[in-house]
Amino acid sequence: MMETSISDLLVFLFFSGITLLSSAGVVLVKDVWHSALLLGVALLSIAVHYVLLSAEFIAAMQVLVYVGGVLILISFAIMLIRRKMDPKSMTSPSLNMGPHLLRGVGAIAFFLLFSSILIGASFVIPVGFQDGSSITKSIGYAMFGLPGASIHSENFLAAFEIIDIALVAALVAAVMLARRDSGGEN
Amino acid sequence: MVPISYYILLSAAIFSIGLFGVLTRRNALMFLISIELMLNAANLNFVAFSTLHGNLTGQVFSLFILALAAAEVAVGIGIILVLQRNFSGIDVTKAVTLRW
Amino acid sequence: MGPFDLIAAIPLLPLTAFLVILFAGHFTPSALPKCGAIPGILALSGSFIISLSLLPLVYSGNFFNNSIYLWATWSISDLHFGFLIDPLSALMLVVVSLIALLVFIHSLGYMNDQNEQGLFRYYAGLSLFSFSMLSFVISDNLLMSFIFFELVGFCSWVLIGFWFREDAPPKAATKAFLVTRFGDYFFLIGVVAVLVIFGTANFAGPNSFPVLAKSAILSGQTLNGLDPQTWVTIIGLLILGGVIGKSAQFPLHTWLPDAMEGPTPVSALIHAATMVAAGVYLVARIYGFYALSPTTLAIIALVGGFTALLAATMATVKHELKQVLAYSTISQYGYIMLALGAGGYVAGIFHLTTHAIFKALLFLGAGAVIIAMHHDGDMWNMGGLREKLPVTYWCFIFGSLALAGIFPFAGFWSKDEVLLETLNYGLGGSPILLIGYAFGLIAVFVTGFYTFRMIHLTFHGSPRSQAAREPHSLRWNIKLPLVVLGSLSLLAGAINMVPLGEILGIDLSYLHHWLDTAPSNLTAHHYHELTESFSGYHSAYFSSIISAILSLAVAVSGMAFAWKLYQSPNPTESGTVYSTRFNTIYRILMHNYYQDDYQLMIASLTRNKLATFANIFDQKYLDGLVNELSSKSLSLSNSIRRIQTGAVTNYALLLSIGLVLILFIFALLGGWL
Repeated sequence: MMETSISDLLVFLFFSGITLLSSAGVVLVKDVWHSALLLGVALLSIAVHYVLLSAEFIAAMQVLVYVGGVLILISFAIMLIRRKMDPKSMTSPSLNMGPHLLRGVGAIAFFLLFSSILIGASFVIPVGFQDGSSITKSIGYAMFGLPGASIHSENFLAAFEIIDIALVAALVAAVMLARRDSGGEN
Repeated sequence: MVPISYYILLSAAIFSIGLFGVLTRRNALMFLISIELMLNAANLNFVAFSTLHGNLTGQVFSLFILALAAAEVAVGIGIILVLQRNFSGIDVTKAVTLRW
Repeated sequence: MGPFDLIAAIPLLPLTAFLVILFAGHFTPSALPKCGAIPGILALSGSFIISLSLLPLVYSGNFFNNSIYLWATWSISDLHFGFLIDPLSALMLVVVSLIALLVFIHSLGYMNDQNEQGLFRYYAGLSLFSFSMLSFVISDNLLMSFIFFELVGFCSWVLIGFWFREDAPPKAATKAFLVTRFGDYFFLIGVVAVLVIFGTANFAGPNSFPVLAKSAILSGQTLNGLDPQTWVTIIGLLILGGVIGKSAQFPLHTWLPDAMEGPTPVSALIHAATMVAAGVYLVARIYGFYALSPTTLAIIALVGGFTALLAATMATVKHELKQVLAYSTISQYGYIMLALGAGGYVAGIFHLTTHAIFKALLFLGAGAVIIAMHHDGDMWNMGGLREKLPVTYWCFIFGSLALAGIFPFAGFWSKDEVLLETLNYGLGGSPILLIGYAFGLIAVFVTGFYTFRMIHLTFHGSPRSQAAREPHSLRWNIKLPLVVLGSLSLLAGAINMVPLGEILGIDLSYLHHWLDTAPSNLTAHHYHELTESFSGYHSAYFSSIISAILSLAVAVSGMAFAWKLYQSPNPTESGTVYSTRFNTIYRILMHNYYQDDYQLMIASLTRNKLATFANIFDQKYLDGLVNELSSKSLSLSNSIRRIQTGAVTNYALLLSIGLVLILFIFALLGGWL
């Protein structure tokens, strides 16, 4: 049983605003590099939401993997692909408005439909995690399928191993794709 | 805890924004970035419901999604590089070899 | 184990021979002596002996009528194979197996000694032919009869077209096949009609369709909206279509003379025992059905009488020995039909039997002559063969005398009885039969004429070619069947000597009694009652002696006329009345009354019209429909494929619109909104 405190709500609303604004910026600004930077803002603010939901470990992973990994990868890709720099766009981000945005009506329709369904929906009373129980430790137990977790969850050992294989395969695939077809051994 | 419907609304909004990006932008890198947004929206939902039910499954799942997102970005960027090589540009509307 | 347990062996022995010859001939040809003739001879000897052993059993009142194999159940009727052994089928079995056996022996001389090629095919065909006919004879229902009727037709196609590398035989074979098939269409419809209306196709027993038809007529109720007697007439005429085709009756007789293109032993088999006999045998088999319909009987009698005369006149001018015999066959089967149509059931069977013997004899004799003549069948190249081929000559004379109906040969007794029965019932209140009698009596004169013209041209006078001066010698395998059949054609008349019995005042109609030993609904007596009560046939009891003397006198005068015209050592057709005074008649006869021509004209006209129509229909409607369909779908898919832009954004847009729509529908249906 968890009560909603006013401070929590305020923090939530504030960071929701940041998340939504930066996300909208991501898809609307003209330059890809600005988009990437705004994506970083959005990802970090989502990490704050994770903390609010008492998922500190996920928040840490979010920062490490997304901001530290994915965003860097994207930055490299932008640098690799962009041949010449436009000095103006480096300093002043500008929105990329135009008739092409009309296609986005699909996404808006989806949102409207979804939220109107959501209005009529009802949910269970929030349970939350018990005080004093270690969430991070329980995640570790769950991942390796070991007994001893203080919070209940499924056993994820097989999924963990499969993800492992998928990551290796993705790594190999990425290398294969990025390699130039020189045909040689180097 | 903030009511769950707020989180669902937030994640739906983020997802829709990501979808909006996919639909409107022609840059392949923007595709990738928008998809990251959509994945994060899903993740946020998972974590929110995990807390709602007091069950860790959602959190563990979101970790897996995190890992897969990283892998996806790696492969995606590889594909974008190939796209750049073969079509001399990363405009997705130009790479239409598979059309009628 | 009595002979009844061996009935199945009668047809199965030739079938086994067929399979043995077919496979051994293909895989190990050297293992079969005489190219497969030996298995065939052995098999038919077996069939003949079993058939003979059935005779005493049948005579003592036993008969066999059982289903052997049920091959389909139908809501209307069960379809099965079964055997019916009664006096009629037992007699026919003996005749068929005997003649087939003699034909096999004759083939040794006609085919093997002449070093023909493809003899395995020949003997396999002959064996299958015998199998089909024997199965047809013993079948116990109309559907089984039809199946083997068709198989007989197929075998005749195989054998007539035996020399398929030459020009004429394949054409003749196809003609025989198509013309008989034309009749068989009607037969097939008749079979279906019998099954649908009576629910059974059995020949014998209390639930056979003739019995059911009879009780339906007696009860006076309507069947399927029609008077039962009308149904009997319709079905009888439909089945008669098959009979007219197979038994080469007018107007479907044109295939039989052409069928002479096959090997002569095959002709003997076709004419005497198997193919042509199948038609009239069918009429005799379901005589209890035909006897119910006076219309059908009258048509049978008139067609038969007309065919007898028509074919006989055509035989008077032919050059080929086998052609003369072919037209005589058509004519003689006309007599049988006349007898059956006139209510002379016994007379018809009698003539069928004696004709089988003397016609087989004549064909085998013709085969002997053709071998001797180094395969030349033209009578104008023969002459003077009497001294060179004495055995053949005398046997041929016997056969010819029987054919012409001269006392005391077999044909005299049977043909006389045919005419007597026709006259009897004609005078007894069915005057239409008198027309048939008149046809028959004139045909007797013509028969005597062409028979002796044939004898004169072939055997008398002086040789008219090198081949006739130095004929090929003949071996035992040619002569043996001739001698057997020659003696039989002298003696076979003894089975039913009605006129002699009347003179002596004793009953000599053995065949009549034999056919009366049948099961109750298949006896000659029963048939007589049926024709009397349903068709109004009453016998006038005309004197058989007077009738016999009359027909004998007519036959002898025909012979004398031929003698007068062709007696010179070097007769020519130009020296006869034909080309001088009756040139037009001669030409018409030579062209067979232009039968082939008009039938061909009808066929080609309808074919052309039909083909043109079918062509237009096919091009415009069938092809047009298909083409339109394909062009429309082509243009439609051409426009639809524009959706596949190849750009990922568009796919994503469609995907999200689809998702929204599906979600919307679910929300509406689930009441979420």
